[in-house]
Amino acid sequence: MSYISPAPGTDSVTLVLTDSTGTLTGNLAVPALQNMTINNSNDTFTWSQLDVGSKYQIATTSTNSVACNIVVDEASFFGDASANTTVAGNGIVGLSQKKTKVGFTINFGSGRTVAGSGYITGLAPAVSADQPVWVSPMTIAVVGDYTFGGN
Amino acid sequence: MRDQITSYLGKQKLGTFAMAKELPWSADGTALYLKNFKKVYVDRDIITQNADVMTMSGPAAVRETTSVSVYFTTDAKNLPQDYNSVLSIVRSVRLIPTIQGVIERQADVTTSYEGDAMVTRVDFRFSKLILN
Repeated sequence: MSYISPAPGTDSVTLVLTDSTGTLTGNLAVPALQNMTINNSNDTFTWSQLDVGSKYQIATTSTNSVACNIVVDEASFFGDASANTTVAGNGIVGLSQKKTKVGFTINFGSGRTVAGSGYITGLAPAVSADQPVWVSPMTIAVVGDYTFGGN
Repeated sequence: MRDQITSYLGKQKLGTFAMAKELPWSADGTALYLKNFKKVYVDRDIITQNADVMTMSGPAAVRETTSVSVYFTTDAKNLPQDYNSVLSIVRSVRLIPTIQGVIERQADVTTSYEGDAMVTRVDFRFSKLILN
């Protein structure tokens, strides 16, 4: 058995975004990740038969998504000073608003990667008196399958 | 923080009380405020930091709290007539305008008895957020 434990306090778990269509150049490494969940949820078709007391199920197509929470970094969220023909220049909110189909690569912190493409959604930056730093959820609605890489 | 508090209290009318410039300890281990009644002593800053907003690459924001204690001693049997007004002035340190950039300002008042003396202690806590 080999468990995966990202080194604490380092940027070992990474989420890097690109433009999967190639229109925008460069990439954007999403900083200040608080947590991340990679969802792979198969739909099922269920039926019953008279000769069995339990239902049968079979997996059909799956719905995939990546969900995370980020501390809002001004440059990466709104776009840095580079041209708006780059991924970094658009920023996370620009990629979401323009409905850019992004490519993403997630590094587990061990060299193992999960990659795919999808659309950024679910942005909801919030701040409060108890938490005076802007934090936002972010979801990538994944198009198609994941690609697994690394060791 | 101690300098700002000492400067502020030094400019206030403390009635029959005086403002001390020394720290509230002496060489033999007995606090100066126990030896010198009706004198207001301000202790040194105690600074603590706690991670407030965490990310996987470390804290994004650290909450830094500066604590300062103010002491003064009076006779335990007969409180000075201006005790309450002096305590009110000391408590007003919490809202000193020269202490800026803080998100929390708190003051706790406690009293204790040491023989025939009543020690009044006011603990101030000022917190600010440091973004990494």
